[in-house]
Amino acid sequence: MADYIRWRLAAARLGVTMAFFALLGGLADQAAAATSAGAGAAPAANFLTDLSIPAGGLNRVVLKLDSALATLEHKLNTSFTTTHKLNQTFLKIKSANTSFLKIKSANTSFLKIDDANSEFLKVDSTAANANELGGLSPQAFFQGTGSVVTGAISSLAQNGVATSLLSVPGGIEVSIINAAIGAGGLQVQISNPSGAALAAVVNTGTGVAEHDLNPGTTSFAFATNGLSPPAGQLHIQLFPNAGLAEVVTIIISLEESTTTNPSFVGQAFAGPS
Amino acid sequence: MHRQLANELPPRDGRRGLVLSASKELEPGARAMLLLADGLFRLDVLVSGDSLQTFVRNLSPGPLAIEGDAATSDGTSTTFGDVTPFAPGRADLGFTLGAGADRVRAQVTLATLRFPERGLMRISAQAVVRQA
Repeated sequence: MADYIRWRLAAARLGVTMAFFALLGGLADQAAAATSAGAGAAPAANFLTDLSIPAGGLNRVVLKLDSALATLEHKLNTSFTTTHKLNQTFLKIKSANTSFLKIKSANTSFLKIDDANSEFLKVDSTAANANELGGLSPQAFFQGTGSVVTGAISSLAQNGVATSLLSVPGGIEVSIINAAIGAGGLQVQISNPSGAALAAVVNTGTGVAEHDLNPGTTSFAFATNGLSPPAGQLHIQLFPNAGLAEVVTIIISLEESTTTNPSFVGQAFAGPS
Repeated sequence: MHRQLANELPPRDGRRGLVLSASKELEPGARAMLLLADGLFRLDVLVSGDSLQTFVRNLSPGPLAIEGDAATSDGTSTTFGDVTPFAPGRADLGFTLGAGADRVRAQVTLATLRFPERGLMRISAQAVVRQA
């Protein structure tokens, strides 16, 4: 654009110069015509020195032309400056079209922030239904973290030695001792590895009582029904403490036995907490 | 005679709890009450062939909602010694009942033992009930 303005300015100067020469030519012609009218043929090349213009007339013409030229130059300068400033300040429509996206096109191609915020989940956000499965919350599903342990002793010798029946989650060991009547008879031994007293409720079949199982082992006499063959059941609940996370239920039964080598079967439940 | 132990559990996350446990031997086809939580529910069981059917009777003033497929429980089952003759089994059940602050969630684990020579099945259960 600046080049164009400069070109226009140069062209204008050239035009003014040409007009000036044309004016001079016209004056020369007038002078020549005047000369020929009065004296016949006259040389055409000396019009500058043989003008019939009054003294000072040519100077006024030149001054007028200079004034016009200055005015034109001022206008051109002003126009150039204005255009230059505009070019520096504003973006051409054509350039904008080639460089930038139109609002209409952007609206059809891109998502607005407000719409995105209302429609989509942010990267570090959690969806309201993130914890649901099939539209159901975790509470709708059974979380089976409880454990079941089953153990059996088919024939327990009467030797007074603890024989393992169940190993319960939490480190609790349940053993059976078959000792002679005088040495305590049938006993259930429960270990407490928690390091703290375990609260227990025990139903021996003859009554329900609360016990504290101290760290180590605790034995309970296994009551039988006194029938022949004898039968009996021991039912224990152990409650959580600092070392036992889940409530434990132990159910042990003496199965029919016609000998001194009884059999036992037991089941234990641990949790859910 | 129904012999059941029912005791309060230490609170967890501010929610009070209760543990119920019981054991009962049943003949096939017989239905019996296994667990009873006064004012909350009664759990009956029925041995039908090789299946164990459970019935939850809602004793609370609020609605009862049985939870999803408890058979998919990821709880463990472990055996020790010669338990094969007893064919130990396991089942799980979960439900929510009650209304408002009295709404509770019960998680019940059932275990079975067979006594073929007596023609009986022993069903034992532990239920942990906590405020929902």
